[in-house]
Amino acid sequence: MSKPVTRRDFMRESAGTAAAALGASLFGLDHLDAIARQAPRQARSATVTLVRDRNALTASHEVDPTVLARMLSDLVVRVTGERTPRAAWLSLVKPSDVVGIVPTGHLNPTHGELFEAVRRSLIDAGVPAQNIVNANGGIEKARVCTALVALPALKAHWLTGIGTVLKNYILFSGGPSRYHDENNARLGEIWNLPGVKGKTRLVLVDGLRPLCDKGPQVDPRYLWDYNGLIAGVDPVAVETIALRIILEKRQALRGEPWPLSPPPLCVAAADTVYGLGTSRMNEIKLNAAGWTEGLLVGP
Amino acid sequence: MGYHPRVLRPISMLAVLGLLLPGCTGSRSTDDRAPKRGAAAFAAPRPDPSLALLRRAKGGPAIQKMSLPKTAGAWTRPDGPKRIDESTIFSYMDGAGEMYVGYRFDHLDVYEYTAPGRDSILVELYWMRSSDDGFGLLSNDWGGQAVVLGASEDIHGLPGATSRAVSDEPVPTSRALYGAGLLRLWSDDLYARVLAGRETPESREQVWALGRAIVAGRPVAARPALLRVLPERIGETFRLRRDRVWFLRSHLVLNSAYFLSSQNILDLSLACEAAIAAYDAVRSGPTSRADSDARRPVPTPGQTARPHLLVIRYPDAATARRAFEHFLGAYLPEARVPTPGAAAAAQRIEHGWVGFRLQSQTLIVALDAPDEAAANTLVETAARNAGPGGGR
Repeated sequence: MSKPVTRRDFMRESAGTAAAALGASLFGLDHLDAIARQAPRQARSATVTLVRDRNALTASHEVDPTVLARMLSDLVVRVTGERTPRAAWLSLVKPSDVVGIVPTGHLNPTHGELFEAVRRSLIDAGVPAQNIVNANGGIEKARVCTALVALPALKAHWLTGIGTVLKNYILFSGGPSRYHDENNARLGEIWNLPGVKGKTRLVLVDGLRPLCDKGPQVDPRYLWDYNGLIAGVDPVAVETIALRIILEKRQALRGEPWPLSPPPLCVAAADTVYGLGTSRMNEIKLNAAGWTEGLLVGP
Repeated sequence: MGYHPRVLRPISMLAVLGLLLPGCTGSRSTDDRAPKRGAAAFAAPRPDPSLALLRRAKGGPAIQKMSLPKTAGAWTRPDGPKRIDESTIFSYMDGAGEMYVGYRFDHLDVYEYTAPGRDSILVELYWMRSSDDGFGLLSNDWGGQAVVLGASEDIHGLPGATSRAVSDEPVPTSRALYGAGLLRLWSDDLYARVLAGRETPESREQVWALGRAIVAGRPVAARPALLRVLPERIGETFRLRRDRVWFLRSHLVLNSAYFLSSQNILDLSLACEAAIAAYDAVRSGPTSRADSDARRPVPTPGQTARPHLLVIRYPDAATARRAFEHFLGAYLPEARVPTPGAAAAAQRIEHGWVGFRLQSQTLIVALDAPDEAAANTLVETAARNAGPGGGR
C-alpha cells in the first residue's frame, strides 16, 4: 500500500506561506493553491466564465427556462469569444460529431431544464438531434461519442470534498467505488482513459442550486439559490472556481472558516499529476457577468 | 525526544499523490456504484468481515418492524417499503452509502409518501445493529432546530423554553433535528430521515407527525457510554464544543469530522467505537454552565485549528497496541513510543502538539493542541475518565 497522505503533509506544504501565517482555513483554497504551486511544471492559463441571473430560479426554486436559455447563450458566447451562440457551439463541436452530454444523474442532479437547453442549443447549431446523447453511464457511452460536454451539478461531497467536475466522469471508470477513500486523488485519470481523453469540448457546471455540505445525499439546509452557470474548457480551472464558491458559501453560513473535510485531493492532483488543467488561482482568470449579489468569488 | 519533524525531510505531498498512481488498489470492495438511471451491471461488494462476526455474535440480522401510518395529511404511502441492504445501498445513494456502512448498518426501508399536486415526503428508516450506531449517524451534524417527538425524551432548549436539561454526556440533548424540510432523528437502533420535497407549513406538519409516529412506543436509549470519557474542559482554558462531538467507527467518517489521513492509520473498524470532539478557548469569567453555554467560544488567537480529542476503544488490548503502533509509524514516526503503562506522551509537529496515550484497549489522542501542557491535560483527563480498564 502506498504512503498515506496525512494532515501533516498539508501543513508542511503550506508552512511559511502567507496562508499559514494568516491562519487561513485548513484545507481551504489557499492551502490547496500553495500545494499546487510547488509542483514544477510549465505555466498555464485558463479562463473560467460565470454567468448569473437573479431570476434564473423562482421563489419556489423552479427553473425559468427562458432566463436559463438566455444565460446559456451568454455563457457560451463569453467562453468562446464568438459573436453568436450558434457560432460559439460550432467552435466547440462539429455538426458531424456525436455529442455526449454528461449530466449528474442522481442525488442533487443536473437540472433537466439545463440539459434540455444545452441539447436545444446544439440542435440549433446544426448537430442532428439523434447525434446528441445522454452519456451518463459506463465507458461504452463515452466511446460512441466524438465530443463530450461535461454538465455536472455543483456540490460538495462527503468522501471527496467536492463532487462536481472531476467526479463527473466517474462512471466511465467502470468501478466508481475505487475512487472513494484515498483514491479520490486519482479521479483525474478517468479523464485520460481511452475513449474519454481529448473529447471534452466544454465543462459547464450547473450552479443554479448548489449543495455546500453533506453531498451527495441532499440536506436542504445546505442548498442555496446561487443562480449561476460556470463554464470553461479547462476542467481543473472550472473545478477550482466551483470549489471556491463552495468554500466561501460554507464560511458565510458559519461565520468562520469551514473547510471541506476530507480535502479535495483530486483537484491539485488533476493539475500536477494528470495534467488536465490548472488549479492555481494566479493562472485562472474569472470572467463573471450578471447578478452580483452573493457572488462569493471575484475576478 | 526523537527527531525534529523538519529534519526528516518528509516526502512532498505532491510526491505522495504521485504514489497513488498505478499499484494502489486500496482496501475497498470492487463493486460498481451505478447511477439511478442508465445503470450498468455491477458486482456485489465483499462483506465486511468484522460485520460478519457481529452478526454471528448477535445470532443473525435483527428483524425490525415499523408500522408507519398509511396517510399523513394529504400524503399516502405505498403498502410496503423499498428495502435497501448493504449490497444495494450504493446504487440507491452512490457514495453516500459509505457513511451508513461505516456504522453497523443492517438495512434501509424507504417509503415515499405522495399527494396530488404536492411534492412527496420521503421517509428513510436506517436500521442499525445498535443504538450507538443510530446515535452516531445523528452526531454527524448537530445543526438544525431541536424537536421533541416523544413524551419520554429529554427536555430540550426549545425557543421560549424556560428550562433545559443537560445530559451526562457532553453532547446536545436533541434526539431529533429539523431544518428546511428535513427531519433527522435517532431512536434506539434506528436513524431516520424524513424529507419533504418542498417545505411548506403543511409538509412540515406532516414531517413532524411522521417523526412522532416513528418514535412512538420505542425505547429511549442511552447515549454511547464512551462519550463520558471526553472532558468538558481543559482547565479553565478550553471548553468542549458539544455541537462538534462525533461518535464513529470508520476512518471515512473520521475524515469527515477531522481529516487525519487518506488511509486508515488508526485501524478503525466496525469492531471499534470512537469519539472525536473539538474544543474552543474560552475567556475567564462566569463559571456556571448556563452562563458558559450562553457565551460563544472563540478559537485560540494565532491558532489555525481547534484542539481535538479522539478516543478509540478497540476490541482488546492487543488490537489497540497494533493500532497505536500503526498510527505512530504513519503519523508520528519521530515520536518515541512510551513503554506500556507509561504516562501520556506528547510530540510537537507542524501545527501544534499531538498528545497520545494507550491505556489497555483505549487509545487517546489529542490533536492540534496549542502547547504540550494542553496536549497532556487533554489526554490525562480523558484517561482518568476512561478508568484503568480504558473503557466502560
